[in-house]
Formats: sequence, C-alpha cells, structure tokens
Amino acid sequence: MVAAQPKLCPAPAQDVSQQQSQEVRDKASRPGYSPVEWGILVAQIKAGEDGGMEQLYKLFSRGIRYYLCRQLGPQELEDKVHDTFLIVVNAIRRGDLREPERLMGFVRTVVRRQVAAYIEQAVHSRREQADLETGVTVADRKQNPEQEAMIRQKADLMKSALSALSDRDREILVRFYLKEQPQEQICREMDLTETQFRLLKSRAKAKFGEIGKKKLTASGIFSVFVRAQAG
Amino acid sequence: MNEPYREHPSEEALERFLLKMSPEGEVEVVETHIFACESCVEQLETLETRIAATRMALRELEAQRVPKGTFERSSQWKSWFTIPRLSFAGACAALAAGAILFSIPRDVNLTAFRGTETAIVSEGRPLHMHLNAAGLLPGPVAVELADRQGATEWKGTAVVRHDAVDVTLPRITQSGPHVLRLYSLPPAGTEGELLREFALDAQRTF
Repeated sequence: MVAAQPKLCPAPAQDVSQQQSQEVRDKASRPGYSPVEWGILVAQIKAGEDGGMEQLYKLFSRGIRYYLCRQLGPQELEDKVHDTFLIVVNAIRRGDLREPERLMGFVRTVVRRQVAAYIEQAVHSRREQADLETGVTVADRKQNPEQEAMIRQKADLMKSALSALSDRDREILVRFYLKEQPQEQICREMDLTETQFRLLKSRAKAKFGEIGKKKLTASGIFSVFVRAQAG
Repeated sequence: MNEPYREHPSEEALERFLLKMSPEGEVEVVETHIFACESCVEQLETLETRIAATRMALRELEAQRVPKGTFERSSQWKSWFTIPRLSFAGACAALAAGAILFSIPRDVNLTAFRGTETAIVSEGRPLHMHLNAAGLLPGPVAVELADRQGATEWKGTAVVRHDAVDVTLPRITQSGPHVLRLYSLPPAGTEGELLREFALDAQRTF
C-alpha cells in the first residue's frame, strides 16, 4: 500500500495530537532512564569499592565514548575514555563533587574539559610538528566502510521517498539538512508554523520507513528474517 | 529538584543536537542526559546514520534537478511534436490554407458568346473573370450577374480594354447556372443595351 503524497498543509488538530503521540512513542521506545541512587554510588566510589566503580563505568562509558568520538574522532578513543574515568573517580574521591545528585552534570563538565584539553594539545603539537615539517595529526571523521555502505543503502531508499515529495516539502528538507538553516528561519521564510514543519519531517520519516519495509519485503530479506526468527 | 536531563530528550531535540542547532540551554540538557543514557546514545547513532543518508539522497536529487529541469524544458518543447498535435496543426494549416485559397479570386476566362458555352466556376469563392469583349468599343460597361431565375445577384461596372473585360465577382453563394451579362452604360433614365451574355455553372468544389 502506498501512502498518499505527504502534503504540507495547515495541520488539523488530529495531526497535532498524532505528532505529539509520535513524540511520546519515540521516547517510550527508548528504555526508561533507570533512576540511580547517586548518594550511594558516590559513597561507594569514595570508599574505593569495586561495585561502585563498575556501576559508574557501566553507566557512563557508552555516553562518554560516543561524545569523545564525536568531538575528537576514533583515534586512541579507549585511552581517552579511560583517562576521563580516572579524572572523574579521582575528583569524587577528593571530594570535589559536593552534591552527589549533580554527578551527571559533573561528568559532563569533566568530559568537556577533557575535550578542550585534547584540542589544545593537538593544536600545540600541530604547531610544533609543523615547525619540524613532520605533518599534522587530524581527527579522522570518516565513516568506516560498513557505515558508509549502510548510509549508501539508506540514501537509495530515501531517494525514492524524497522524489515523491512536493517541491515545497523537499525544499524544507534541503534547507534544514543541506543548508543547515535553523527551523525558525525556514518557518519564517516559507511561511510555515512550527507544527507544519515538524509534521513534514515526521511524515517524511514515516514514508522512509514504509518504503524501506516494502523494499525489504520485495527483496525477500524480510521474509527470510521472519523465518529465521520463527525457526 | 528540577532536573530536565533525567527525561529522555525528544527525537527532534536529539536531531538538533546532532546538527548543532540546539537552542541555548538544550545542549546542556541533552549532553548531560546522553552521558548516562545508553538508549539515547543508540538513538543518536541511528539518527546520525539517517541524517547522513538524507543528506546524501538530497544532495544527489538536487544535483539531478538542474539537468532534469533542462531536460524537462527540452521535453516540453519536443512534446509538441506528437502525432495528435501534429495532426491538429496540419488540419489547422490546411484550414488556414483553404481559407486563404478561397479568399483569393479564381481566374476564369470566358470566351463564349451569348451562352453558347457554359463555364464551370467554384461556388463560394471570388471569381476574377476575363471576358471576351472582341468587337466591343473600348470604354465602361455595366456588368450583371443573375441566377437561373433571372434575379440579379450582383451589379457593377467594368472597362472594355483590348477586346476584353476584367471583372471581379463576389462569391457566388448558390450553386447552379448563372448568367453574366455586359450592358452598355445607358444614358440617365434609359436601360442599357445588352452586349454580351456568358453562362456560368457554379459548383461546390474543394
């Protein structure tokens, strides 16, 4: 079944509620944020207990790794993550964190300082190395081949969905994703409400999903996947 | 204590974060949250791939757009050359040519005297008549076109020159036999003398 061409029009109340419920579903699809007894955790770390250290690592390692990789690239990532943990743990042990409930913000501050320090160091060493004419170290922001293949595949799917959009709808996406114009500017220049803007994006997303599912079904991958699941 | 970073940010907020478009205050909330939320990091990774794919797709579509537009323009031009359109244009041209042709007077040479020969002429188009006027004195003459019942359809004047009279008749609207007569121009109050009579048969021709 092919969905109707998504048209951007003044959103009726139902669309707004659908948009809101979509947002709720988006959030609900993510596992709930598990509440942590920050006081206990901080106390355990202060006391040097392995359980506390383990929990701290488990809790923050993914986020810190992601953030550092995004800011500095994948080079020596594990070392940087490790260094950051050491700084956090040492700071907690020294008593720099006065309110345990602020641990999340505290970790953020430490990580940001780390990023700033790494960048400063890179700039400094670049200057020195440039003098020695030995080249410079630049963060590799390139996707790995698997990621590139995945993006290529998704882009091919998206092209068919995007080409079904009206010129106006596509212009909104071009402005947002390619020209990186802020939402406010797009809405102002194209005479859109914020809701209309959000609706377009959510409809386009739904369209991508639908086309992707159709292609998978058509290629038989989906049925193989279902059989594999069943078997 | 109000701690917004304990809530999952919306997908839009995550997208803004990735695109570095977060308003002031939102960056802090999102960043703080993702440091401790594995599922939001996963969501960010998914979004990152989606954004990269969207950009790639849009870039390629935008690149195709200019040549495509050019092609469309040429296609629009070429699209006029379709069989129905060409047929219609041909028909219009034929009609126009016909209209022009019918508006051009047809030359008819009449040499017969007093109806001994009947000339076939086209109905519905002007006729440029070359009438044999041998033996007539040069000078103006009256011309009359009458139908089979003798009713006058048209009257005019012409000049005898070099044993001929050239006269342009308006369209004959009724088919059938007609008579074209030449009269001498009469003095006021009298009838002119019949000098010549020519027989015509107006027929519908294409």
